[in-house]
Amino acid sequence: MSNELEQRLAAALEARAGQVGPDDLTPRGLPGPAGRGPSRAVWVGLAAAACLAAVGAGVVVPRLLADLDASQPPPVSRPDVPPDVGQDWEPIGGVESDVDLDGDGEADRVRLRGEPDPDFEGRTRLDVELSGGGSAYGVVALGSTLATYSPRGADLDLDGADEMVLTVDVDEATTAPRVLDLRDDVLVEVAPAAGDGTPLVAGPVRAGTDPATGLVEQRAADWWLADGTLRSSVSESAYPALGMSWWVPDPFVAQVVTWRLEGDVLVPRLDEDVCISRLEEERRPCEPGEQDGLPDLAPVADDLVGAGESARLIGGLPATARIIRSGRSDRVVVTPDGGRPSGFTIFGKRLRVFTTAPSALVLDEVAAAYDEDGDDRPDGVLVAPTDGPITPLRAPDDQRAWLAEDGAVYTVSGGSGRVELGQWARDGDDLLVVPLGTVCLPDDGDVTAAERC
Amino acid sequence: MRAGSVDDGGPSVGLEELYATHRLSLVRLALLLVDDVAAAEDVVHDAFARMVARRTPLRDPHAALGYLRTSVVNGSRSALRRRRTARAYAPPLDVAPTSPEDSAVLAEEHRAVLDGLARLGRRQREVLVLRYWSGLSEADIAATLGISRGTVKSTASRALVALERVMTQEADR
Repeated sequence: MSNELEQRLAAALEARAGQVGPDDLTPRGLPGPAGRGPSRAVWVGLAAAACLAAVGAGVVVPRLLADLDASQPPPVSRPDVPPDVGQDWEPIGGVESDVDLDGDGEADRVRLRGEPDPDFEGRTRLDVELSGGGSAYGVVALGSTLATYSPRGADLDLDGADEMVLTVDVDEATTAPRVLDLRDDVLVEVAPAAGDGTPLVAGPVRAGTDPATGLVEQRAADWWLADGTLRSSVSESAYPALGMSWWVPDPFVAQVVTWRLEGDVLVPRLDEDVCISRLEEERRPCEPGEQDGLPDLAPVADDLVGAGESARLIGGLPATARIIRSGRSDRVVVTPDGGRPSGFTIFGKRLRVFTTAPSALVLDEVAAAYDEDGDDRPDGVLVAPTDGPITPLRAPDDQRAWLAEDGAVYTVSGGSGRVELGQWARDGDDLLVVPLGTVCLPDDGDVTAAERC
Repeated sequence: MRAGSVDDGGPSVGLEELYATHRLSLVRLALLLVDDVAAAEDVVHDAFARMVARRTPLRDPHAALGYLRTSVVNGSRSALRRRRTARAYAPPLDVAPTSPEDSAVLAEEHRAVLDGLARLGRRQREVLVLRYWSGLSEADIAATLGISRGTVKSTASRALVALERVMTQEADR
């Protein structure tokens, strides 16, 4: 076949290469030692690492590019697993593999067997039929023998053959890759070096506690395989979490590392930062100077009803609110659809209720935001269960708050300029302000025009 | 490959001479891998920068060129990865489409081959470029790419078959 094809290929390559001549090259001298600094990504990474260390978070510790001179061939341990372990264990079905362990360009076939265990938490034996001939096996603890596994391949040591990557559940919210390297026909588990704090998980990574609010702060981590490489990311900032809620901006800036296998350990190499949008389901290069996104600050909900009026609440669970004048006070009566009415009074206060429900902070019960001082701003939230009395949640502080049409209540620490943006959240029978960062408001104080400073 | 990591005490390779002699050929090598002149120049610049930054100078010119070649191949992979990142990780092909100017200058027969080459896998493309443009031996290709000679041989063989197949498919369209 190939004499003609080889000649055509060589000629085409020569033609393409010949399109660049000496005169086409940009005038550049040999890079000098003093002129060569770390790439942008390295500096960003170092800065980020310093920030993370400053808040006491054991997270990204980027390894810079390996020094080819200083590094000796990394140690490679040899497996010591008897070949007959697990050959009679229960087959695990549904395995869909895409891995080329012998580097011949063809996918290998993988079978799994689970060690009998009453809790289905025994070890797993992997048997591989190598497409180029021969076989391999391994015995690893994957956590569960009930799960469905899809072994995938990534050439992490750049030797032309894949390592096997399995996804395992760390907990309900977190997965991690389990990497197996083929050595002497045995699959050997490899992992980041002990003490390497670079996250290699998908899910929240606890970064500490905000001393001002007491809220847990978590970084958003992820990992993925792309183009035969294993990569992971972790958000440069940590975001507050409370119960099942986690205030992650969209998009957010994340630091990315590519993992390489060096000897027995996976080593992270800093890569370009990305901006991750969960809404857009994308990872993309950040724009110059791009920061974490702000919440979509919906228009202000400013429709209220007062004494003698009633309204269907918009958003949230269906319900009706009406306000009854009662002497020097007003009484708010909330009636969930299919439930019993219940009332709420503050002695001596004229109450009004927003027709938009604060559905972003009370998800599973009827809720209404009220104004007690006539300034058209929410002063608290009334939670009305279907069968029970109203629970009032009072404003956590006296900062300027507003109810947005999407049911969220935001706060700012000032009228214009550089202010702290916050959002109300329910914490049991209390409200608290979740800090969302510093923003700049225009001179007219239009909160929906807030931007990162 | 760590071909240049041995300090044998001899005179170090003259980097200026190396740069003057091999910069163009290395840019061309990178061009064949990333299909973009500016990116190719950056890749080669970074490769020399890494060599300049070495704490241990290289004594063997052959090892120095091998080091640079490996560095260029690795840098080209990184450039392609960055390009894919810029496309939200969903590239249809590894290699960027050629510019109209390129297409106008290159003969159609060459363009057909290069388009076919662009549709091959990364490793297959690298092996073919190193073998049919750089003219490297299997051993040198293996050292450059950090794979075995057997893998070089099998990859090259499969790559030619694949290239012929994709070119035939294109011709039949």
